[in-house]
Amino acid sequence: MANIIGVIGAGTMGSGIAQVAALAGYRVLLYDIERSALDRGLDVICKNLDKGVEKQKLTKEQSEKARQKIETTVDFILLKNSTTVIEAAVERFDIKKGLFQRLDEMLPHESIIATNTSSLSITALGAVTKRTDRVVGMHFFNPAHIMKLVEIIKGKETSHTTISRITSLTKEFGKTPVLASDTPGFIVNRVARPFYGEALRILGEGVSDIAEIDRIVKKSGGFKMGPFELMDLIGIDVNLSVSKSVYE
Amino acid sequence: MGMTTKKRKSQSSAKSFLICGDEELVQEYGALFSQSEADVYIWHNRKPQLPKRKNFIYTRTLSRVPKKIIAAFELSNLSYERKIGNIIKIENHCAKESLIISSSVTQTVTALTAHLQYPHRIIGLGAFPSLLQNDLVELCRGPFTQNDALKTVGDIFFDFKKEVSLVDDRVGMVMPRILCCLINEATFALQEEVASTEGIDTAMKLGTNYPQGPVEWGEKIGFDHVLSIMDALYFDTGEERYRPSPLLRKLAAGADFASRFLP
Ligand SMILES: NC(=O)c1ccc[n+]([C@@H]2O[C@H](COP(=O)([O-])OP(=O)(O)OC[C@H]3O[C@@H](n4cnc5c(N)ncnc54)[C@H](O)[C@@H]3O)[C@@H](O)[C@H]2O)c1
Repeated sequence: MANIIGVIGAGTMGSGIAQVAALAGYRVLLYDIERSALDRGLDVICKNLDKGVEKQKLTKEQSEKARQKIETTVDFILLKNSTTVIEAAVERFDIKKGLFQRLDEMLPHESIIATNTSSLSITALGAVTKRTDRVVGMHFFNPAHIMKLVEIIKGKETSHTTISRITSLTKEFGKTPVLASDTPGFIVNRVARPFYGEALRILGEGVSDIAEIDRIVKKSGGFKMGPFELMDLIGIDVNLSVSKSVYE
Repeated sequence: MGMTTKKRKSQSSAKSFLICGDEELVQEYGALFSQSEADVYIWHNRKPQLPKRKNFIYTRTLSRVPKKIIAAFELSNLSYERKIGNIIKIENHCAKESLIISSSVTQTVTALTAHLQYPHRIIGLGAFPSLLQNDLVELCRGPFTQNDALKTVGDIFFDFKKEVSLVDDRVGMVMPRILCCLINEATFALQEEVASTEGIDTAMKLGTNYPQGPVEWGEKIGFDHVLSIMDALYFDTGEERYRPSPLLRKLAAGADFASRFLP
């Protein structure tokens, strides 16, 4: 069987993940419920590949080859031949649950379901399937085609084989895997929380102002971006939902 | 709020400085002053390792130090008693025009002011290990600090090509507070076995572009220094969010050999 990677959701993360997998030489089937989302996703992928060529990170052939490896579909059943499915649909348990149950029924026995969730429990998501040992977290960072880190999250019943297969896949993608436990926020979103939380506190207490806090963090701490600049970039809303999940 | 670094005339008159306090900070500020021509008196219990410089004068007592100096850098964060002791001795020895630039990370300048006869000349400094390698220093004023004093300190740092930012007089100031809260959270995560030490450091560098991983950074700073800030914040606010992790406390206790028992 050909080695096909299914990617669910052609949004910000899914399109980046599809690009990375295609560049690593995999055939990619990108699925979304919305045709328009697929068109947009593919458009973003093409632009990013072009940028890669411009910046001489990729050759023209690599870029074209990658482009040809990606197919898009709104037909869920076509995912059935995937050896690995990476799910990057909207962050809602009910939606992911539905997707996981359908995948579980139609995927070959050995296939792995990986999820890019930022805040849902891998163990809880695995538990909606009959393949709890082959469900794993594969948490990319935005923008996925650039950021080198992938957190690999082991659910309670995720097997060692699954972890080692996903770890190798991550390396094939040219990324650095780091193993994390299935706890709220995993590593990055949890440990980074005070970076934003304290900055907001410091502001609220009138210790300094927004521009100065950013300047201090960059020029005294050596950080590339200040907390407020980063909050603007990530979006206050995403930040809030992540903080909430860590808190709860 | 910020003090910009416009071109200022550097002072060239003969000047001397005093440096004392926590070893790591004396080391870092000493290294900074090795770029200077000024006489630098290093008041110490244990001689710090510093580059050999003709302008460094090591002394165990203040009596060798001129009464009139530009400024004394009092750099203790770890022990409040030692800090107050130093400040009182400096105040008794030095002329009232000599500035006292005191690290105000683990307590406010306001709290120090209560011990001073001439509180117009005290300036708070965000002295915290590892931060001096970068380009900006945080300062704060006490209730009686004079503008001239603040300006002189700005000029001193300007001569070392450092910018300054004036922040409000609060425990932790800005960067030490954010940084120590990050490191503390990383030690909670370690303690809960969320990931390995290396995993956490790698994740923070690659996933969110931190210049150093929080655990390796904590080790470089010294976990005792990190704990002193967390303890001060926790004492100051009584809030759970500043509670030091038990692992941080243990790492601080063995700060000199933390790498041996980091999980
Ligand atoms: N944006 C980030 O910074 C970031 C980082 C790491 C992880 N994540 C996680 O990645 C996932 C996707 O996030 P995003 O930012 O790419 O979202 P997005 O809104 O950009 O994209 C989500 C896509 O999923 C599609 N979708 C919705 N329901 C679907 C269904 N039932 N089946 C298939 N597709 C469906 C939508 O049409 C949309 O195209 C979430 O789980 C999120 O938590 C996001």
